[in-house]
Amino acid sequence: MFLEIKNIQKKFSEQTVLENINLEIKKGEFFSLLGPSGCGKTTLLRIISGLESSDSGKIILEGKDVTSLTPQQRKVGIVFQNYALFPNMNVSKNIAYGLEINKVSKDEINIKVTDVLKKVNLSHKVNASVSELSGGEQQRASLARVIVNEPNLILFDEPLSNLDYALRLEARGELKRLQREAGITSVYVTHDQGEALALSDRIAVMNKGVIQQVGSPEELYNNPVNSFVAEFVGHYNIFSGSEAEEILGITDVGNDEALIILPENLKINKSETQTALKIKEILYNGSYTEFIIEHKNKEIKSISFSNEKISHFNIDDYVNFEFNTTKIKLIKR
Amino acid sequence: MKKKFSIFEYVLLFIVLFFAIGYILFPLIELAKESFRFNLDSYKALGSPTVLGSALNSVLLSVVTVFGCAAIGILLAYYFHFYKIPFKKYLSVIFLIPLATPPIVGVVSFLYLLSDNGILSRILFAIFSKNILTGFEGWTAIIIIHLFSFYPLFFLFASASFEKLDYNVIDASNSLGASKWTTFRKIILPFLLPSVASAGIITFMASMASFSAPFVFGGSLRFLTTEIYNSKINGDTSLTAVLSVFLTLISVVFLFLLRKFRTANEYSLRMKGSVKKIDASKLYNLNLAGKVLFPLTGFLILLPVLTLLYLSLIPEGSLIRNYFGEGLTLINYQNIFTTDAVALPYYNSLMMSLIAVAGTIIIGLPASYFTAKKKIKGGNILESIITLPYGIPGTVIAICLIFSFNSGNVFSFGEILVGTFAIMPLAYTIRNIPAITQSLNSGFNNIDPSLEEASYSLGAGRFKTFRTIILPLIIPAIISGALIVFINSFGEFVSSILLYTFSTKTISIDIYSQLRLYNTGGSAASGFIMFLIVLIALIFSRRKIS
Ligand SMILES: Nc1ncnc2c1ncn2[C@@H]1O[C@H](COP(=O)(O)OP(=O)(O)O)[C@@H](O)[C@H]1O
Ligand SMILES: [Mg+2]
Repeated sequence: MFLEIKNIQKKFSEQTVLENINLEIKKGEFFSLLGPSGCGKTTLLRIISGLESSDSGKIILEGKDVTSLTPQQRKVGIVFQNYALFPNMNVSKNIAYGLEINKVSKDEINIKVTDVLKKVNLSHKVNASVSELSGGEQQRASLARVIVNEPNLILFDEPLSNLDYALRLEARGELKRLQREAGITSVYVTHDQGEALALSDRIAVMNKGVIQQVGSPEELYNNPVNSFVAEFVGHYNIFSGSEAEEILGITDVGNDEALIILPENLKINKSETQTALKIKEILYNGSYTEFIIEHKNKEIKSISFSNEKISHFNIDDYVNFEFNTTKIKLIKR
Repeated sequence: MKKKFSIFEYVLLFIVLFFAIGYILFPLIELAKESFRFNLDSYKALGSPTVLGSALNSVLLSVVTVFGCAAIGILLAYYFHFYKIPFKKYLSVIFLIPLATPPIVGVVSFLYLLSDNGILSRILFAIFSKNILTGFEGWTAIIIIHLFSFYPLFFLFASASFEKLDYNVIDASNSLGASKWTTFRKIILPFLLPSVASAGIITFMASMASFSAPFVFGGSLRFLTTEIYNSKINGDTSLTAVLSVFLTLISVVFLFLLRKFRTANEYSLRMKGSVKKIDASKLYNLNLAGKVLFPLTGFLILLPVLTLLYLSLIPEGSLIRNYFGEGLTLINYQNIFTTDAVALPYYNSLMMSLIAVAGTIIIGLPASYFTAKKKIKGGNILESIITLPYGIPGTVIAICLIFSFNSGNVFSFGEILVGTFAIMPLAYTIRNIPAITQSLNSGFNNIDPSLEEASYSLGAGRFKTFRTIILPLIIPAIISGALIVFINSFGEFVSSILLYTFSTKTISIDIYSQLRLYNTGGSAASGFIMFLIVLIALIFSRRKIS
């Protein structure tokens, strides 16, 4: 195993931030830590890098126990959320910083900097000061500053979260391409499930300092093991036993179980008579339309794709659900 | 990240602690000891009419100063922010001129402008052939000088607050039908309150500690600072000590008030999102009176320094012979640099200020590094001690040093410091440590911690990171802090007058002694030079800050 995280435990004063974290990450893998804000992702990343110490547990990198090493000894690349470019240096100085520390010769530094700037499309900004760069350019410069050192491991802490939506999508593809070309093992922290699903080979879903599930994007999406993962990764509709019986007419959901179904697998039909299900909101999204259906106080999501033939719906229309029973799953609550 | 110290860091920490203990705590303890030296009886002096009277006068003066300066400063800031002001650019510089006027220079210029023999009364006498302007002394003189000296603080603080005021709020109030006055009273004043309160506390402390104006214009009026000076000169050690303790306690109480206020205040400011600035087309128009009044006020602010300039350019003695009849000359300026006795204070002031600048950086930079950057355990206690001198009047600091170093000890390396050259820059360093650490602390706090972490993760060690990342980013704060220290030290008078000997005379002391000798031209020329140097330093420091 390339990187092993063993029994990592961390408290800040009385608050337990990480509870017994165990993960194994393969060489060359793009591995994401996905979870809501405050769940401990950054803290775990900092422990891997050596910027933060854990209360107990071990970090093993390429078979070597690095738990007690400082960040400069571990030489793990980090791309920070706010980029952390040195404002007192221009772009090329920033990128050359790590190489200079490693006593790489001047000529070689020049070659490598030119090369990496080309890779991240910043060749025209070699001598620009950091403050002249746009958000996207800063993000690319900070990435270049890391990959130029050819580290074995790169840690990303929500590197795209400060970009606006369109740029974020573009940068996502760019980042994936660079990572694949360089073949560098990456641990990527994000709270954006779309980003994690699009980028990762495998994902660990975290909540409140506890790993909920580890798996490939498809596994997490199709087979969530609990309601947190179902809700957070797939935006599943989740029904308790009594709700399932009342709304879907499905019995035999155990007490410690829940029934889940993806919004796109739950279709609606217009009802001429009054039913318990009423359209509360219609969110048109181009390629698909999302309907929010109200049942008493519960909101249920249904998605129709634009290429599906469906009748026209209005808010306050009464509807019935239609679904294929093979698409429903039972999970632990 | 394990926060272990390197040997170098231990050395720095030792130096800071040595300073904090040896030159801040130890002198205060010596003062306290001195005040109890004979027995508790010395504290009975506190009940005497002279002491009570001087305490009352000091408090009264400070209260008047605070409210007067608040009114002037807030009003000016308000008009500057919301109105079209003629010559705004120049006036906004002119209104800050008192900041570039060291205390003794301000006092001397007012003396030459408004006293019975001053320029203004001479002009009025020439016109009306009788003495119209008399009696510029005592309360009137002191209060006018205090208003002149201290209103810029309110002006600056209120202006800074206005910059953070969301103009949408004013628009909202106006659109709800509120008059300008209602908006000012109900919206603007409450908004200003935190910063104005800070300015008020600082001004109260500065006014309690004020020495020059009461010293020169006080006559038979007694104030705490001048009483301390007098009792020291009269050799009444016990009274000196008791009065000093008394004044220190009052000031330190206000210092703690200020700290409480600041922390509460910072928090509320941080909650603010982005604000809409006032746009130029929304500025109100001044009426005619206002259009005349503003340039006129600007001229009045300039008058004291113009007086100095004029007097420095006329021959010595023409004050008595014929005020306006004689031609202009540079002889007073030539004298400064040809007479050894006059050139020496220039050398002294310059050297002492530079030593103080070096000293404050040597102590302040590591102190700030440990408290604001490293946030070491007990850092806030260290910071409280290091910034304590901010609350101690210069007179008291001088007295403390005299009591502590009139014999050799560990902290003076066995030497007697009283009467030496060294004790003066030492006093300046102690007085200015709080100023430089304030500048450095905000500098360190503005450095994003992830920069340092990025450097570590790229393989840099701690020293390399400090040298290549942190130091370059903190240099602007060092420079602006150093300039403030220079400005304060170069014009220092209050503790100098208790510590100087003939060979360690500074420019301020020299100006004062020339004044006593009626050398108008010489003191005016020195005063003007000092004003110019401080002004230049001030312009640099404000440019650096912005
Ligand atoms: N240095 C710290 N001191 C105290 N609490 C902290 C510190 N850093 C993080 N925390 C707390 O730990 C929890 C997890 O933080 P973090 O790892 O930053 O979460 P995430 O990156 O998932 O948003 C939060 O509740 C946060 O307030
Ligand atoms: Mg985070």
